Amino acid sequence: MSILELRDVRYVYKNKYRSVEAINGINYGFEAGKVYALMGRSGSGKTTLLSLMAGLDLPTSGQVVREGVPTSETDLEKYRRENVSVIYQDFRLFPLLTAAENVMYPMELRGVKPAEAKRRAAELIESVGLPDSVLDRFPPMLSGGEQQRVAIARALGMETKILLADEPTGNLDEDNSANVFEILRRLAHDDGYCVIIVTHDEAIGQKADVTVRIRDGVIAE
Amino acid sequence: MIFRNGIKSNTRARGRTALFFCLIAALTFSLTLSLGVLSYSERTIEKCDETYRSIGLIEYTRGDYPDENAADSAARAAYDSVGELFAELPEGVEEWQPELNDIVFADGYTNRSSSSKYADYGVVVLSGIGDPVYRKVYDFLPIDEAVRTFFGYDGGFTVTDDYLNNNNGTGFSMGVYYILTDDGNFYSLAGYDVNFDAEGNVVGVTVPREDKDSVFYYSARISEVIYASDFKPNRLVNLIPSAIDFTLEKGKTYIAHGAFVNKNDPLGPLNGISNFEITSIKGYDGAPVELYDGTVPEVFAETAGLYEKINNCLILNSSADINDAYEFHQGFLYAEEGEIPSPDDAGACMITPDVAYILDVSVGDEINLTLLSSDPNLRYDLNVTQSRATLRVAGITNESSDYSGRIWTIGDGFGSALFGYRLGTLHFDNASAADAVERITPLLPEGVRLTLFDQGYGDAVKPLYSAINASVNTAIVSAFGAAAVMLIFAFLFVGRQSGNVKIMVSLGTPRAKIAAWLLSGAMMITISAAALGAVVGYILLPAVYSAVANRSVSAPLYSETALGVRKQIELSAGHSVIPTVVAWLGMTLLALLFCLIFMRRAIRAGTFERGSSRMRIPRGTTSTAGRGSVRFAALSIKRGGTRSLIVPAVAAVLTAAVIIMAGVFQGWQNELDGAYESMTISGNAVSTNGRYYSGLVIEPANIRSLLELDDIENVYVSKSYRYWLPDEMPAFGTSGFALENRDDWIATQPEITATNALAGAKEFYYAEPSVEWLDGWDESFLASDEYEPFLTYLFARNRVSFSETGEPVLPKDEKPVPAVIGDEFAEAHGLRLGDSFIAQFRENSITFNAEPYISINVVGIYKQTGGRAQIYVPLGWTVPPDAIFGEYNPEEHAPQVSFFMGYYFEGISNQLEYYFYSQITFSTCRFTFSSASSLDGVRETLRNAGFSRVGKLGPIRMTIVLNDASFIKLTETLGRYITTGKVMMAVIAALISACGFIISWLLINGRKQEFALMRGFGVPKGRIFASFFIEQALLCGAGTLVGCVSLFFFGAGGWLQPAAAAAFAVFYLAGCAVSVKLIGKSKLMELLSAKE
Repeated sequence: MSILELRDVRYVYKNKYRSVEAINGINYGFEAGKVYALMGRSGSGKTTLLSLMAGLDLPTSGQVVREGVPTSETDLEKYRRENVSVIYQDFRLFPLLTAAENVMYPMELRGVKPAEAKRRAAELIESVGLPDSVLDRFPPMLSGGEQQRVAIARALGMETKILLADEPTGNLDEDNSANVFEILRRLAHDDGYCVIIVTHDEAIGQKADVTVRIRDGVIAE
Repeated sequence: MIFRNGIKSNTRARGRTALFFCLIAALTFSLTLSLGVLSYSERTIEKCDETYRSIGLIEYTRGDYPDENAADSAARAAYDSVGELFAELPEGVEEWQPELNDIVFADGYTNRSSSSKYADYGVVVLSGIGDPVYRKVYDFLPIDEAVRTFFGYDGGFTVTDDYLNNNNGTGFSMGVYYILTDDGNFYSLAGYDVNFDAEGNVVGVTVPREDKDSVFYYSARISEVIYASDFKPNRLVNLIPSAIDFTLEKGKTYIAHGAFVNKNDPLGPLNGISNFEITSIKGYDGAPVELYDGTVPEVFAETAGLYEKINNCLILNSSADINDAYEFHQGFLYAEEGEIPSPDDAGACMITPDVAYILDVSVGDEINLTLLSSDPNLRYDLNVTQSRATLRVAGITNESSDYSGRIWTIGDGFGSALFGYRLGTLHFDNASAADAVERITPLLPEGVRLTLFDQGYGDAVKPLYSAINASVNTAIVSAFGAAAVMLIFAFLFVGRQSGNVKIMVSLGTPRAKIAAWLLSGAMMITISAAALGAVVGYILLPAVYSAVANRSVSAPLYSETALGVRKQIELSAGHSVIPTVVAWLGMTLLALLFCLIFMRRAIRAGTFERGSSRMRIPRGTTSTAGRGSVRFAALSIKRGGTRSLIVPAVAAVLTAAVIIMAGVFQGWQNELDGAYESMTISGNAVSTNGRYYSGLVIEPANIRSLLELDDIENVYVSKSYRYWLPDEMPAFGTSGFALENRDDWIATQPEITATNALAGAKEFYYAEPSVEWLDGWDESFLASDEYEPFLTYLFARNRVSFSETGEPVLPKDEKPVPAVIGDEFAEAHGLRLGDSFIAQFRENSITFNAEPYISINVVGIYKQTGGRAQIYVPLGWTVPPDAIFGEYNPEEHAPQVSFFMGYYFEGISNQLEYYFYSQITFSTCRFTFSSASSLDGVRETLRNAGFSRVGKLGPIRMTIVLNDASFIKLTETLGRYITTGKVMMAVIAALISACGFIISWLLINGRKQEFALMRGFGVPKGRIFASFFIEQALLCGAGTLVGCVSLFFFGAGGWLQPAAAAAFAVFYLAGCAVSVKLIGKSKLMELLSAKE
């Protein structure tokens, strides 16, 4: 059964002068326990699709449905807070919060007490293969790979079953890319996450359980 | 290509371009208008400076001010002092013109309104001499002898002045003394002059009889007039031969020198015929009358010639500029023919039409003048001199009854002594006249007054200065606005093109072409928008000029600033294109400046430089303190580094600036409030032209009308009489000029002034009196109603008698009147506090020159400053104060006043009193307000009540002037500052708000990623807002608190400064809130896709 379903989803970017159909009627269902790779050329609409799934916006038409409830009928803030977590290509860590505090942040949003959040953050950071010494460091003091792992740990801290990643390895070297993918794969296969990765990286596409190719706003295969 | 691309890359952002186009056009429009109005106002003020003349009339206001013929040594001393003071011209004064007047004679001129001492003198031929009428002499008869002589009664008797009580209350009394004989009969002493002893007892009577040795007068006819200013031949006269000791023969013809005496004079025969009194010829020992054989003796001919010259004298006024002479400056006189000679036209003169007509001269003719020298103590006691001058007539004035027989010329005159009280004239620079008057006034000698007459310049330029004020404020605001707009404009249109620069640099574009790309679009927008705003402004400016010109300001009602004539002039300074060009050019250059700055920045940012990147590492470790948005805000502050310092630093500086500015503003406000609270404004009754505040005729009914008005309090009035000490009057005799000389002497004596407060006396209008009081006494006695008006006893009882040595003696029940006398007078007469003395004074307002006595008790001695030994006595000595100021009870005063003008009016004393006191008039009236804040209300109240003001007679013929010049100046100046302050405060509030917004916007815009992340996590908007807002609020609050430290150094009291500091924080945070809200409104997907 699909944990996240796209029903004839369309999305149009428009301004005063012109409009561009980024997503042009996509129907698809994503299941828990699998790693999906959304692939396609630049401008094909994959990041837009990821944003719609992340609840950053609503489709121009059609529906993004999570466990039977369309996002258009739910509180998007709550949806983003409780149902999806996103890992960005450029990590998007709070620059003035330490690695631990970045991981703690979404936990605290959910009402976890700071001490408990700190303990849990340490576990999560360890779980993504980072040493304790990283905990008190600020993002600018970390390497790209470390920052991405902290971002993954933060996503894990949100305890949602849908994990969206936008080019998570785009800024990483081969080893770090492999490590990050491995973490994501484990989350899907061992912990039952539905991991959806937007990537250009064919290697990741090959390692993913399902590869969905998008061309001109529609699923190509 | 480069230009086209540069322009396109900007203008294609149509919304942004349109917004800034409109802003720049609007600001240029505003600048054009403000600079245009500023330029117009300044040019119009320049025209006003050319058109108006401001002069200051300097007068000595004590003594007999404003008598222009007075010979006052104090005024002459002041004249010398003022001359020394202005030897070096004070700032704002362009010329000092001392008063230079000479009395001159011109052959052929006859003056019919001469005030010469010899106006009534002449040489005439008398014929038809009639029988002599002899003078009466009076013999003293002791009372016993008188009773025996008049009534044939030889027994015992008593004298009484109370007929009613002694006649059982019946009968009618004439207020005379009666003889009550022991056998019960009454005999009236009416018709006899009764004499008293020192205790008021009747001691005898004086009995008249004809003195055959003393001819009083003859009847005669004037058959020929050798010289008499206004007397025709063939008139009957009473010929009074005072100056000769021989008898004129009946039927003979004589030539005589003498004076025409007023037929109403009590010394005259009172038979309705003019009196010609033979008087001695000055400087001639022979008889002033001779038998006439048809030939005029030489001495008579010379004397007649002298009188003709003196009586037909002219007054010559010399000055450097006739336009500054008061009568010309005020427009009373102008050139009807010819023109007023210019200052460099020495020897030219203006004459009055009567001079032109009588001398038969016209413009271009010459007139010959001979100087007549005055006796130093009597202006019209003249002698012919050998000093002569020839003047060319440059112009003839209009006809004016107030100015006849006058000549004005350019020069220094003959150097005659000063008579009168006008000391000279200051010519001011118009713009600084008011300030100069304020600076000079404290330097003037005691008793000298400086009155500014600016022909309405002050009011004419007032709206122009307001316009300048408003336009400067608008220009400043517009300039600040322009700077802010241009800053953002340059940042957005040039500074943020670093991406394009990078591309152009990477493509090898030359630096000049990059600059052209960056500047072309921005400058095209600026130039066209500024041109549009400037052109529209230029088109609308004439309408604005018209609005400014029509904002005429009239002087406040009853204000002393409204004295003098006010020119009504249409002023148009024309339309200038310069302000428009300046506004356009200014905006263009400002845009260019900022664009160049940002262009440099953009080129730098777009150019690759080695080692330019830096990484900032915050300090600290993982924290678990706090919760939610507060925790986030606290962490951001703690780790914000420089960012966390900028906001509080800016907040502290701006708070301190706001507090200092508010302090200055508060200081002005405090000063204004203080002025309203502390300044006492007084008002005076003045002459209709507003210049004289003493010697007036003020009716009690007008005083009562004044008292009925709200806000008026402390009304002071005074009435003065000439006084002298009986033994100090010179012996004038009975012949020659005795009467005139005596009158002249009395007219120069100091005054005894009845007033209800020293402040009501003219000498103390501008200087507080310094008085040493007798123990237990103070000024309050002046307002007391316990003193008997002297007129009542003057009429009711002949109280004064003489001792055997001829000293005046008051009855023993006559209480001395308490008085304040001058220290110099006290010292000269050996008087000390508590001493008494007797003075004589002249009363001629109700009576015909009565000269009663007054016994004075010295209760206070004031420091004399004017040289005049004025004496101040209670108002009640002249009129019961209650009759003027309160509820007057006639019953209390009836016995004293029921006898009036020689008759008792039993039972109708109320009407008598009404008549009696309604005849009393006052020579000064002064009042103060309850508060300066009621000034405007008082003006309205006075107008509604109908009081006259200078130049506008009202139903109540009492002209009022309020001494409000310094108050108006202070409040207007402060008001202007405060208005400016309000505008500046509003601008600063807007700027602070903008600062708060810009700083917050820049800081938060730089943290869009955090913002987006939070939203990506689904953080509620309220919490996101709180996270950023709390951070800014805490930083701003901290800075504001630090800034508030300046309160300890610049605190001016009041609520304004703390309120301004609080307002700053509120405005800052408002700006901050708006910026957070604006970013919150951005689409999340755009935020997430945005780069830092």
